[in-house]
Amino acid sequence: MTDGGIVRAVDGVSFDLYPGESLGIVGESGSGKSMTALSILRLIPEPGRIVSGQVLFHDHDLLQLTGEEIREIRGRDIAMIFQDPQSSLNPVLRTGFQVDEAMLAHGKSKVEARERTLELLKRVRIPAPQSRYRDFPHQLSGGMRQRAMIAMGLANAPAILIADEPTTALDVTVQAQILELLADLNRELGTAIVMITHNMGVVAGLCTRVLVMYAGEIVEQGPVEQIFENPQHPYTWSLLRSIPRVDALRHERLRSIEGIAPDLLRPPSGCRFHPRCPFRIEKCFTDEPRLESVGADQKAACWVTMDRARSEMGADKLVDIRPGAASGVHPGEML
Amino acid sequence: MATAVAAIARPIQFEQASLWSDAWRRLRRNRLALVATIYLAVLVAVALVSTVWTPYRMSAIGVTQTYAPPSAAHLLGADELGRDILSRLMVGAQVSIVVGVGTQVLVLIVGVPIGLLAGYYKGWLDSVISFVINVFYGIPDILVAMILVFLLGPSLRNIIISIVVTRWMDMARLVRGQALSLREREFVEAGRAAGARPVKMLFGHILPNALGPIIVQATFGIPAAILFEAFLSFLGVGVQPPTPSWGSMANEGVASIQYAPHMVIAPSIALSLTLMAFNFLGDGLRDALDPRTRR
Amino acid sequence: MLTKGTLVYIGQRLVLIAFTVVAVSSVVFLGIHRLPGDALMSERLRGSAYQALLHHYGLDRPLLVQYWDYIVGVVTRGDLGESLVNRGLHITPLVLRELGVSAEVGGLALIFTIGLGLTLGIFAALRQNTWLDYLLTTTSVVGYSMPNFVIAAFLILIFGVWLDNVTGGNFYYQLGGWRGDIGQLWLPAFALGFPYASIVARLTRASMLEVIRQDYIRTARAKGLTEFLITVRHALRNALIPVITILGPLVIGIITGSVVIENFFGIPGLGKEFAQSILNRDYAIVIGVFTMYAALVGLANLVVDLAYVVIDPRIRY
Repeated sequence: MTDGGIVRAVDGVSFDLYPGESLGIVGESGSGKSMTALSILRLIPEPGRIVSGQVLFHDHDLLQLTGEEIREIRGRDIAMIFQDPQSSLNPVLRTGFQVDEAMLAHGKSKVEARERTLELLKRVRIPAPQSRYRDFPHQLSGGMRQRAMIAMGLANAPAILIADEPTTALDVTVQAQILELLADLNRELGTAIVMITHNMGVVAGLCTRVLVMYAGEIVEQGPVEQIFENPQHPYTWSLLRSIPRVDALRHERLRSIEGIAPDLLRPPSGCRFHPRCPFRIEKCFTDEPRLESVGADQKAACWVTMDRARSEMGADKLVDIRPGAASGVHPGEML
Repeated sequence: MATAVAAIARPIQFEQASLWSDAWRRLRRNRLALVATIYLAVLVAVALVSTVWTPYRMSAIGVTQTYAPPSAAHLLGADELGRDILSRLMVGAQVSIVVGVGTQVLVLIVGVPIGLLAGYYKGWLDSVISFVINVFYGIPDILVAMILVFLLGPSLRNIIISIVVTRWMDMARLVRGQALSLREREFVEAGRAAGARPVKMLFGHILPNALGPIIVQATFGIPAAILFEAFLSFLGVGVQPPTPSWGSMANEGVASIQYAPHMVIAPSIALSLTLMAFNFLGDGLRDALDPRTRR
Repeated sequence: MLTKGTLVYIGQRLVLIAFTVVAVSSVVFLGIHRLPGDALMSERLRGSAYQALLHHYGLDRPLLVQYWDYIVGVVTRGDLGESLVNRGLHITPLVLRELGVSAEVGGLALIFTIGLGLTLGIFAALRQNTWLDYLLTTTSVVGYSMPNFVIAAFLILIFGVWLDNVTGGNFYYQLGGWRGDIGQLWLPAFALGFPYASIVARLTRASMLEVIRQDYIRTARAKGLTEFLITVRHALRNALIPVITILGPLVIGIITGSVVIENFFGIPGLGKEFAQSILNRDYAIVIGVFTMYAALVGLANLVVDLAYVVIDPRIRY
C-alpha cells in the first residue's frame, strides 16, 4: 500500500520447484521477480504484505507458520543470498563470524560453526581462509564477498538456495567465476538453486528451467533450451532478440523493446504487455491471457504466441521490433 | 566554448528556482514550523512594541507589593523589588532577539568566507584554517566567554562578541564541508574550465548551492546563542541591571522559588518557548531544504 | 585494534592537546594580567604592605618573566600557583579536589544521558509511527530546548515546593555540606543531562531507522536470527556510529552546563570555583581552573575519537 494506492508487485504467480534443479526467474526491474523470492521466506519489507497464497515446502505452507517456525526454516532449509555483497554484509562484524552466525542460529556450537565455516570458505574457493575468516567485509574484494555470502547460504546444507541477482554488482570476469561456482555446487551438493536475474545470459549458463516474469506475472515458463530456441511469448522473444550479438551485421540497429515498464499502480488493461507488444491484436487490449501450454513442458500467457506471429504476421521479417516501425503498420492490425 | 559553458551554467539557475519554491511548499505543510513562526513573529512584535511602550516602566521599583503574585494589575506578578514582571519580560525579549540574531549575522560574516576559502582552495590554506578551527574547538566556550565578558566589561555588545568568538567555527566548519563537496561537482569544473574568476566561483556558484545548510545552521545558531546569553546572565556575567534578561530574571527568581514561584516560571517559560520555536523552525527548514531526510 | 598507527595517533593527539592547553592558558594569562586593577587592590593596602604582597606573588616582575615561571611551574611541577584572595591556598590541590566533585555530577549526568537517550531512541525507532514514537520526538525537542537551569528550577518546584508534604523536603537537593551521595546528586545530574539525553534519543532514533533499512539487516533475517539478535548485534553497533560523533560536543556541553548547574546548587566543583573566582577577581584561580578545563576538553575529544576505532573497524588511524 503506497500513498497512491495498492501496488500488486506480484499478481497470481504460481510455480513448482523440483529437488536439485536450477530454476531461473528472469525479468526487468519491477517485474516482481525479487518480491516473489522474498515472499518465499516471508522477507517482504514493510509496508508490503503477502495478501494471499501458499508456499508449500515439505507439505507445510510456509505462510502459515509462526514466527519461530519460519525462523528455523530460514537459513537452514531454505537460504537466500542477495545482490550487493558489500551492503549485504554487516560492515562492523568479521566475515567469518557472519558465516558462523548462520549455523549458530540453528543450534551449532561455536567450535563446530568455526570449523565448518573454514571448510565452506575453502569450498567456495576463497584463498587463505584462515586469515579471511578474521577479516572484515571491507577488506575483501567484491568477488570474495559474494563467495562468502554463498558460503553463508550453504552453511546448513539447505534444500534450496535462492540467489537474488548475485552477480549483478560484480565485474564480468568475476561474474563468470561465481556462476561457475554455483553450477558446481548445484551439481555436487544437489541444492536446488533459484536464480533471479535480468540477464538472459546468466540463465543460459546456469539454469535448466526458466520463468519469465513481466509486470508481476509469469508470462512464460519452460526448459531453458526450449525457451531459447523457440520463445512463444513476444516479451521473451523480444528479450532474446535484444541481446547484442557478436556476429550481428554492423549496420543492424540494436533492438530494444519500445516503451517502459508499466506503472503497477495502474497496470494496463488486458494483457499487461500489450502497449509494448509488436504483435498485439484486439483481444490483447481487453482480456488478460492465462498461462497455457504451448509445447512440451512449455507454457506461455499470450493470445497470439510467436508461432502465429511468425506465420501470420511476418515476425521474422521485422528489422526492428518497435510496434509499427518496419512498415508503418502494426503487424497485429493485419489480422 | 563560451556558449557551451553558459548552457551548462543556466540549468543550475533553474535547479535553484525550483528548489526554493519546492522547499517553501514543503515548509508550509509543516504545522509545527508554522506555529513556531507565528510565535516568533509575535515575539518580535512584542519586542518592537516594548521599545516604546510597556505596561509599567521596566525599572520602576515598588509599583506594587514586592513578590506579588499574578493579578489583574500585574499579569505576571511582580519581582523582589516590586517591578512588573511582564514589562521586564517584554524588554528581555529585545535582549534575546538582538543577541540571537546579532550573533548569527556576525557568525555568517566571519564563518562563511573562512569556510569557503578553506574548502575551495584546500592545500595549505585549508590546513591552517582547519588547525585554527580545531584549536578553537578545544576551548570550553562558556569559560572563555565568561572571561572575555569580564575582561571587556559586561555589555550586550561584548556578550555578542564573546559568543561569536567562541562559536564561529560551527558555521565555518559547515561551510568548509559544503565547499569541499561542491567543488567536485561538474558545474564547478565547467565554471573553472570557462575561466571564471575565483570570486565569482565562490560567491556565484558554490555559495548559492550551500545556502540551504547555511540557513539551517544559522537558524539553529540563534537559540544556541540565546541559551548562551541566558547562561551568562544566570551566572551574573550577562547584561547588567537594570536591563532585564530572561536569564538574570530566572536567576533572581530561583532564590524566592518557595514563596514566589511566578518569578522564575515566567522567564523560564519564555526562554523555553522561544528556544523551542527556533528549534522547530530549524527542523522544518532542514526537512524542507533537504528532500532526502524524511522522518 | 591497538596498532602502531593508533599509538602514534594517540601520541600526536596528546602533543596537540598539550600545545593547545599551553597556548590557550597563555592567552588567558597574558590577557588577564593586562587588566587594570587586581585582587590585591580590594584589600585596600597601600605603600609597603602592598609592595610586599606584590612581591610575594611575584607580580612586581616583568610580565614575561612571570609568564615563563608560570609555564615552567605548570609543566614541570603541575603547580598552578597560589590563590590571590585566600593567601596560602594552593591552587593545584584545590582544583583537583573540585575536579573530583564535578566529575561525580558530570559522570552521573553522562550515564543518565546516554542510558536514557539510547534506550528511548531505540524504542522509538523500533516502534516507528506509533504514539510512543510521536511522543518521543516532540518531547525531545522540548527537552533540548529548555535551559538546564530551567529544568532544575522546575524540578525543585515540583519536588521541593509542590510535593513538599509528600517528600518532606528530602527528595531534592539539600544544601549544606557536600556529601556526594545520590540524594544530593540526582537532581543536578538530571537537570544537567536531560537536554542531552533528548539529543541522543533523537539521533539514535534517526540512526536506527536508517540502519534497519540496510541490506545487511535483511541478510541477518534471512539467516534465521531472532529479532532480538538482529536489533542488538547487527543494528545497534552500526547505529551507534553517528551517536559517537556527538559524544565529543556532548561531553563538552555537560562540562559547560555544569558551570551553571554547580552555581545553581552550590555544588563545590570546578564550575562554581570558576564563576566565583571571576567575581572575586582571583585571577590566579581563574587561570588555573581554565587550564584544567582546557585539558579536560582535549582529553574528552581524544577519548571520543578513540571510541570510533573500537566501534567501527573500518576506521584506523
